[in-house]
Amino acid sequence: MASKIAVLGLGSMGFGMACSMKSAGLDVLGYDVAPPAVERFVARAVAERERQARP
Amino acid sequence: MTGADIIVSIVVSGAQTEAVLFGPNGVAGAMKPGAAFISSATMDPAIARDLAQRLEALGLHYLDAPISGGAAKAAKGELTIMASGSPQAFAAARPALDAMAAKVYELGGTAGTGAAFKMINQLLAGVHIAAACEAIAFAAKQGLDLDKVYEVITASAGNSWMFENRIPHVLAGDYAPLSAIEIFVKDLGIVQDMARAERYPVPLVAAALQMYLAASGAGMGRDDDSSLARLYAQLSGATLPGTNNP
Repeated sequence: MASKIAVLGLGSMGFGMACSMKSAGLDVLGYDVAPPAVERFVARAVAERERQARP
Repeated sequence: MTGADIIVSIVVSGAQTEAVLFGPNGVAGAMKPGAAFISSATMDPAIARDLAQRLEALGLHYLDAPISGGAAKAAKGELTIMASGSPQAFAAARPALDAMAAKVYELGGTAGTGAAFKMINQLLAGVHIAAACEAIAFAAKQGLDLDKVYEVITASAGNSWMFENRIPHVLAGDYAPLSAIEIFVKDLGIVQDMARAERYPVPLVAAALQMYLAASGAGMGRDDDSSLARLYAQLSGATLPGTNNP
């Protein structure tokens, strides 16, 4: 089972680190005190899932 | 949080890292046994040692793991990580480290060593940005063709990673923050505090820090750190390419 990772801080560095761990197949939960930072991470994850789901 | 095997903390400072771990609703109380806390904020090594000891007392792992490489490398999983901590902390953190980094330097068996390496990098980075900005504004003061200055210097011995990376922002007049002035107000302040404690002189850091402080005081604290060039221009009457954040 993939390691479960919590990323605290989705600024310019944390966002990239969270995305690269997600791309590597880890189970990533992102946290930030600023809601827009979390929304950006969720939007990116959804877009990636849809791209992978395409035949 | 309670289910996480690994927590990666990329907040701004040692104080914020302490708040994340041990503040109200801090994660230290919610981590599962054997889980690893990877701390990537830049901080004084003494704070890293203290946080590690407090977390280890709870049976949890702390990896002192500052990062370098910038946002682009972060997104590609190609960071440089300067890590120190117990073998158990490295083992528990490994899946995250492998996914985030092109290079993981294992620098010692206790927290604090990674932070100390990072502060050496920040000393150089902060001074090199200040030097690059001083030089490009001086070129502007003399009316030189700045694009030509960039071309010539990047092919000459005075070049630096920071000159090459930051001066294009000045040439474009674009000071949208990739890394903000306030980061070096903080980091060179930490270097200066460490140096005072060691009775070690850092005159170049001290001079650079004054310029970051002045830039922040002049309202550029949240702008790109290449804004030091604008500060030099304001002080000297030099003219730089147009800006989007005047």
